[in-house]
Amino acid sequence: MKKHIRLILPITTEVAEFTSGVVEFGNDECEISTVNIDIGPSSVENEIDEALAATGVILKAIEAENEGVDAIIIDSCGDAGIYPAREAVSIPVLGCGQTSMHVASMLGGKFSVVTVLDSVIGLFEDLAKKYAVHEHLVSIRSIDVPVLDIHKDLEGVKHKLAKESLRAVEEDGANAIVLGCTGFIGCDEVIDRHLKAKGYDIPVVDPTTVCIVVAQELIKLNLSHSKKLFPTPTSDKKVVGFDLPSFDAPTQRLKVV
Amino acid sequence: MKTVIQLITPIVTRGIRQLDDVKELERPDLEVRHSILDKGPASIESEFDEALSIPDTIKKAIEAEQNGAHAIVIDCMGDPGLDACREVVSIPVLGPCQTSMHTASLLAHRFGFITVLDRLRPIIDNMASKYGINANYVSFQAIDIPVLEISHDSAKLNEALTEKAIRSVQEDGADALILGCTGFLGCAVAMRRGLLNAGLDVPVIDPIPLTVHMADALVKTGLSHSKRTWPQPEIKGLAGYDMPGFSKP
Repeated sequence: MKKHIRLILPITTEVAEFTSGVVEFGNDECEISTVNIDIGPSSVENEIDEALAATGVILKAIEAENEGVDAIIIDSCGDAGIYPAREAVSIPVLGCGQTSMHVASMLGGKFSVVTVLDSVIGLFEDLAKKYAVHEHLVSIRSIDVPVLDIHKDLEGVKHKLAKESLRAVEEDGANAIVLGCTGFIGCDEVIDRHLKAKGYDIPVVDPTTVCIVVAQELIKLNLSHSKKLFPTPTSDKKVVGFDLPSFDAPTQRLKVV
Repeated sequence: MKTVIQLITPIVTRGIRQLDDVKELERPDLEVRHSILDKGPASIESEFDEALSIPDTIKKAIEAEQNGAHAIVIDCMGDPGLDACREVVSIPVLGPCQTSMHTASLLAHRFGFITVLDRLRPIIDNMASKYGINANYVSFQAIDIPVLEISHDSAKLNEALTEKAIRSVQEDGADALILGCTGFLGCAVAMRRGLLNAGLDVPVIDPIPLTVHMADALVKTGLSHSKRTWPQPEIKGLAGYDMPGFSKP
C-alpha cells in the first residue's frame, strides 16, 4: 500500500519554493504532501515565533494522523511543536532540526549550523542540548538574511552560505555542515562544490531531504517515537480557546507485525 | 538503479548470520551483499575479540568499495573498525551501535541497551561516551547467553529479552530500547509485543534492519562521512597485512 508523508510548515505564508523541491522525493511507494499551519507566524525566526507556531503544528499533526498519513515532518529547523505533536499522535513525527543534527553527528562528529539570523543562535544551542548532541556542535553562524527574503536573491544566499560554511570548517573546526533553515533546501550542492574546491570533502546536510528519507525508512521499519516518553493527553482537562479533538478515541497504534 | 549495501559480519564463524536473514532485507531496488572474515575471532564478546576482528574488516571494506557497493554496514554492536573503515573508503560506513544510539535519541531520550553478557558493560559505556550520546544512555541489561549459543532456543531468548526489556523501562527509566547484539535479529517484534502487554509503549530498535535502511537513506541523499574527520591514510610500510591500495609492496 502506498505510504504517505506529510510535511507541516509551521508558518502561515505559502512559499512555493520551499515546497516544490519536496514533492520530487515522492514516488510510487510513497506520496509526499505539504500543508501550512492555519494559525501562527508568517515565518519562524525567534522564540516568540516558535511559541506561536506550536499550536498550529499540533492541530495539523492530529489532522494528518486522522487522514491516515504514515509520518509527519515538521518542516523547520526549529522543530516547532515537535514534542507536543508527539504526544498528540502515534505516527512518527520528525523535526528537521533534530534529524539533521543527529545525522551530522553520525557522519562528521563535529558540526556547524549555518543559519538565517543571529536571533536563532540561542534556539539552536538549546535544541542541541535537548537532543544530546551539544558536544558535537562547534559553532552556529548566521548569514543575516530573513527567511522570507531567501528567494529574493537565492544566488546571493548560496554564496553567503558557502562562505560561512568555509569559515566554519577553517576557523571553527567543523567536520560537517547543517543548513540551519529548511528554506535553504537545495543550497547544499553549491556549498559542497565550494568546499570541495578548497579540498574539503565533508557532509553538507540539507535537513528537509534528509528528514524525508529517514521518515521513509522509519515507516518501513515500523518504528515511531516512544509513547512512554510522549503519552497521549487525557481528555478530561479543559482547554480554552483551541478546538482540540477528544483524545478518548484510541489513537492509531503501530501494528505489531 | 539498485542500491548495493555490503554487510560485513566481523567474525569467522559461518552460519551465525544466515543468508536468509540478509536476503529478507532486500527489495527490488536494494541488494544486500554479505561477507564474513577469513581472519579473526569466532565471536565478539571482548575488546580482545574486537581488536582481532578489525584488520580483516578493514580489508573487506576496501574490497566492498572496489566491487561497487554503495555503502557498508558492520554487523556487530561493537562497531569494530568503524573509524578505520571510514578512513579507507569514501562510501558511507555505518556501525549499528552508533546508528541505534542516535535513532533511539531521535525517537525518545533515555534508552536502554540489552545485550548478551555483563562483561560488555564497560565497552558499551565507552561507546556511548565516544558517540557523545552519554546523556541519553540510562540502562544496560545482559541476558547472560554467549553469542554462539543465541540461536539455540528462540522461545527462551525472547522470554529473557522481554524480561530484561521490562526491567530496563520500569526500573532504569528507559523510553526506548536497543537490541544490543546483532545476533538478536528478528527479536524486536516479540519484545515489543511483550512490552505492550505490560502496558509499556516504547520503540524497540533492531540494529541491522535499522542500519541497512539508514545506509540506504544516506545513499539516496548522497551523504557520506566526513573526510576531514576520517582522512585517507598515507601509503607506507605495512608488515603482515595485505591492504589493497594501502600496503607498499
